Amino acid sequence: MRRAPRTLPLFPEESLPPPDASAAPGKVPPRPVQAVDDPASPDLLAPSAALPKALWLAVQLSAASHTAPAAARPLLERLATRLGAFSPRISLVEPDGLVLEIGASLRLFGGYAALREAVTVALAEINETVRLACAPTPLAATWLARADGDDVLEIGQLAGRLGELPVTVWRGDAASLALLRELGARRLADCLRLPRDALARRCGVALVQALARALGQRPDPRAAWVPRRGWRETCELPAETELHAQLLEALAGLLERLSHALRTRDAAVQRLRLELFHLARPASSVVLELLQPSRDAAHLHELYARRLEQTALPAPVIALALVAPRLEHDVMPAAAGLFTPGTGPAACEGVPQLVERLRARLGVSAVHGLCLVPEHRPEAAWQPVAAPGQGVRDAPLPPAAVRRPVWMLAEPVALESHAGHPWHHGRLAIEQGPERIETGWWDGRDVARDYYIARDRAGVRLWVYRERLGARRWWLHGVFG
Amino acid sequence: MDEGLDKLLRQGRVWQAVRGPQAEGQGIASGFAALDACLPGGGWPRAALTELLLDTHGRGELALVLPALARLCTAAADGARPRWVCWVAPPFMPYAPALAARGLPPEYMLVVHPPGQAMRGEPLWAAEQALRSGQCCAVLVWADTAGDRHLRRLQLAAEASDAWAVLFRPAAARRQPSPAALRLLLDAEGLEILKCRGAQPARLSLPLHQAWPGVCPARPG
Repeated sequence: MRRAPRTLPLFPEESLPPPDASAAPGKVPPRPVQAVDDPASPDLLAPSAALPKALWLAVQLSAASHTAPAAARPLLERLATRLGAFSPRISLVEPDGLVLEIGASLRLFGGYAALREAVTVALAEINETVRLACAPTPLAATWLARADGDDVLEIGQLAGRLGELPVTVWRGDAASLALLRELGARRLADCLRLPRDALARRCGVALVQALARALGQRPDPRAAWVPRRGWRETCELPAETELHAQLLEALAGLLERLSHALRTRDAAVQRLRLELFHLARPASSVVLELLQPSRDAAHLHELYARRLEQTALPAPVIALALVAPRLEHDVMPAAAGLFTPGTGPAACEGVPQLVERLRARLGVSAVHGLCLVPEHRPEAAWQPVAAPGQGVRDAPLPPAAVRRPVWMLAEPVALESHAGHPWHHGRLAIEQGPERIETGWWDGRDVARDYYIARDRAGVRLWVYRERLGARRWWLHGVFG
Repeated sequence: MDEGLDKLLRQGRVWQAVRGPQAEGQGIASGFAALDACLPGGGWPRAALTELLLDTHGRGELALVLPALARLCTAAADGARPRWVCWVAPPFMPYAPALAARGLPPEYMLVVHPPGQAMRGEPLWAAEQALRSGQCCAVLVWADTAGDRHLRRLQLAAEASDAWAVLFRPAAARRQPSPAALRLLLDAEGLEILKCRGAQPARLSLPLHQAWPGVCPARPG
C-alpha cells in the first residue's frame, strides 16, 4: 500500500489510494477527514478543518424484528423518514440497518450525547428496538452496532476498539468465515495482525477492503437514501367496522404520521386519497382535494371527518391506506402567524380553509368565487372561480354595468306574450328601454336582443329582453333586487 | 336624580325605552338616513344577526343592503380587516359586473350553493362556518325554513365574529320568534322594523329605487 505523502495533503482524498471499482461509480464520495488529526502539518490542513468532522451513527434493527428481509425494507424506510430530522445524509445498510452522518448535526443538537438522546426518543415513538453505535466511519459504526459495542468518537481509538469485535460482524461469505475460524482468527484484531496481502490471498480481497474502509484508510462512499416521491401508509383495523368513530381514529394516526413525514421532508400535500379495504369487495376510495397545500394533521382530519360523514360505506372496512401521490415542495404552508390579528384559533385560518371545509360537506361544485370577463354578452361577462381569492384577474368594468341587475337567472326564462306584451304573473309594464345588445356573431353564440326594464304586478323590477330575430319571444334574464 | 342611578345610566348598561340610539357610530351606516335614524348605533348592527323578511324576492332587498356592503368592502380594502362577502344559497346568481359597479369587488365574493333542498340546515350551517372563520365582513344567507336551534347558533356565531350577518326569510316567518337583534319586513308598503334591540319598532318608506342610478321610476308614456 502506498503511504500517504506528508507534503501534499491538500485534499485528504488525494492521499488515499483510488477507490476500487466496486464503489458506486458516479457518486461523489463523502470527504473523509481522517487526516485532520495528523499533527505533522497543521497549517496545510487548516483549510480542511472547516469541513465537518465525519461521524456516523449506525442504527441496527434487533434480530427479532427483521424476520423477513422483504418486510425490513419498509421498516428501514420508515426509520429513515423519521431520522431525516437528524441528518442530511442517511444510507440504508440492507437488510437490517442504516447509517446517519451526524458530524454536521452535532452543533445543532448540542453535542453527541444530546443528539443520541433525541434519536433514542424519536425511535421510541415508533416502537422500534434498535441498537445504536457511533464511529468515524460508516462501516465501523455498523460493525459496532451489530456487536452492540460502545461508541468510538476518535479515529485514533478505532483500530483498537474494532479489534475487540468478533469477525462475524463482517458478513462475508461462509467459506471465508470458516477459513478464518480455522486460522484461529476469532476477533478482528487477529485479522488486523495478519499481513494484508496474505490475508487477501486466503480470504479474498473483500475482507481486506472492508477492514481498510472500517479504519478509514479507504473512502467508503455510500449512496444517500432518497425518500420516495409520494407517501403511502396502511393501517389494519383490529376487526371489520362500519363505525365512523373507529375509522376516524385510525385515520388520525395515519394523518399524524403523514404530517410528521411532511415536516421531515419540508413538504405539503394538495391531494390525498384514502383507500378503504373491504373483505369481499374491491377497495373504495375517498379523494380529498385541497385549495392550498397543507400538512396540518388536525385540519386534514376535520376535512376527512366531514367527507366521511357524507360518504356511504359500501361495506364494513377492514383496513385503511392513506396515499399522497405527490408531495408539494417549495411551498410555505400557511401557518398561524405570530402576530395574526384575531381572537380565537379559528380567526387564524384563511379563506382556503373555509372553502375546503364547506366543500368537504357540500361538495366541490357548491362553493365558488366570482370574477369579471370582458364580454358584452351579459351572461358571459362573469365566471365562477374554483379557487376563490387565487389568481385574481382584473378585467375592465364595462360602463353599462351600472345598469345591470344584481340578480341574474342561471338561464333566461321564456315569458308568455300577449299582444306583443310580455307576461309574468300578469302583464309587465315596460319602464325603460330598449338597450340593444347585438354581438358574438364570430363564435356561433351570437345574440341580438333588446333589453327592457319592466315592472311586474307585485312591483318587482325585472330585466327582460326580446329577441330581435326569429320568433321575437320575450325572455326574463334578471331581477333588480 | 340619585347619583348611583345616574352613574348606572351613564354606563349604558340599563336600556331605557324612551331614549334613542345609545352607542353612536357602532353600526354600519346603511346609506339611508331615515333607517339609520331608527337604528341604535346609527346603522346596521355589527356582530349580530339581522333578519330581513321578504314577501317576494326582488322586492329591493339588495338595494337595501348593497350600500352598507360596499361600505364594509371599502373599509376593508387596506387588508387589515376581513374583506370577504359570503353569499349562501342566494335565490339567483349574484351578477359580478353589477356588484363591481356598486363597489363590491367580485374577487372577494364567495358564493355557496348547498345542494338540494332536502337538508334544511345546510345554508345556516355554511353561514355559521363563514362567520366563525373570521374572514368575512358580511355573510348573507337565504333560508326558507330555519329551526330555532339553527337560528340561535347563527346568532351566537354572529356575536362571536365582527361580521354583519343577514338572514333573508319569507314574510311567513314573521310569526316565528327569532333571536335576531334586528328584524325587518320588506313588502310592497315599505320597510317595517318588527324588532330592534335597543330601539322601537317603526315603519318607514325608503327611496330604494334611487339605489339604482340607471333605473328611474316609470317614464311617462
